[in-house]
Amino acid sequence: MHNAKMPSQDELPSKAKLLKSTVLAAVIAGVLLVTVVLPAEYGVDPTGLGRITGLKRMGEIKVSLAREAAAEQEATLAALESPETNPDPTPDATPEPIVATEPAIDGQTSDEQASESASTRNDETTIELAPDQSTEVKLVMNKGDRTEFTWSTADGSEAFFDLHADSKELGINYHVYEKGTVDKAEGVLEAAFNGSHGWYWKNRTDSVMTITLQTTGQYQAIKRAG
Amino acid sequence: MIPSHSSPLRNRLAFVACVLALLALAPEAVAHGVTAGDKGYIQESSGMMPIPFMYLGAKHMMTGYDHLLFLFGVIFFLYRLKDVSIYVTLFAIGHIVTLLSGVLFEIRISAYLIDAIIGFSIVYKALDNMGAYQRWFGFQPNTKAATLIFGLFHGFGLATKILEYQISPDGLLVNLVSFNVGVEVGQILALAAILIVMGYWRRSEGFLRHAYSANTLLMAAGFLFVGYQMAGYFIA
Repeated sequence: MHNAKMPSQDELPSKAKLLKSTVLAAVIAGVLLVTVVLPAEYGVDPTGLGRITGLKRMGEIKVSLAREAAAEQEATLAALESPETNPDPTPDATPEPIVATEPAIDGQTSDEQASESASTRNDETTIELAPDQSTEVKLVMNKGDRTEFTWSTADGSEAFFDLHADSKELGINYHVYEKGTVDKAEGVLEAAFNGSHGWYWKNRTDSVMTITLQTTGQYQAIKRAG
Repeated sequence: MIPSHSSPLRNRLAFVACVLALLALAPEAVAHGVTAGDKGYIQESSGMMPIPFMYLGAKHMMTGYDHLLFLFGVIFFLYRLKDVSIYVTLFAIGHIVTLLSGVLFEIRISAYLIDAIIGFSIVYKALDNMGAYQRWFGFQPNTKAATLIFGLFHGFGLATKILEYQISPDGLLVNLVSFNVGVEVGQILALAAILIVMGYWRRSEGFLRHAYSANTLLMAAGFLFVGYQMAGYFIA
């Protein structure tokens, strides 16, 4: 504090000691840069330590996300600069067919659909994802509606999934049920509120991934985005 | 019309406008959207990942200029390593309590409000260093208590940022504790650098004279933080 006695020069660290500390600090910084920061931010791992600690994977994901965000921004601007083409909100996605036993297109908004009474439906949805590609499949459900589901990847590779929900009407942006990285999952999805409930999948592998989703239960519509 | 030579802010506004326009055209196709950086990485992760979360905690602290400025103010006139350790430990106890409970009990406070309080903590410490309270009130508030109490607020600030990351509930406790460990590691690293610089500076001739001006600048930085965050609270 300002009222603390200022020590004499002898009591403060000597110049030699300060110099040694500075050199040591610089060396430590260099080591950390190469073993921790470069892997974690850029996926660059000269020593191989980043792979063991899992930090290299973090860097690779971040670099990939940065590239995707930039590409999305560019493609959006490009789409607007050429108004005669039909703009695709996620231009990196190739059009994917939904193989459904019942057609799923509705003209109403999802919340209008959700306020109607639930009906029991049975759908099978097949999705193909290129490496780093992602997609969403959502079910429009009322609060309390239940749907049995099972999904799996064709070749046993692991997909990142985020089972979540949102509702424009209720102002809920993101409500998570479960997320993880697995090759298959099954269970019962019970809607926590009126809105859209379903999966975000991302293919983080190096090859094309096919996911098949089966849903049986109470929902008004099944929709695909991205 | 898309501006071709525009500032980053105009680019961002143009991008948002484009996205909104596209959303209006395709009511059913609301994409997940790409979140880059640490938040994007966390949103894609689940399960126990102690080392990545330790890294994120350390990075958070070392790039957390508001936390670092407060620490700088705290150690400014602490010459002995023992005193530095005591005060930094008090600050750590404060922020650990609220960091953990804030996330585990999902205590959601406006990030703007809490960051404004953190900015105020910087102002408070700078004034304390300048002897303002003795001058104005004839009274020196307990510096250890102040460090601990402000530590609690800093912890809420950390917790608020973590809640925004939307960490998966799967493995949350391990990841949160790892993040906290990382925060302490980052704090130690940053402190070491600060103390080395202070070591050189304190040996110089004009340290005590410049100390007053330095704390004035620190206070200005604190006020800037407060203003910036309060503006965000009311505007955003």
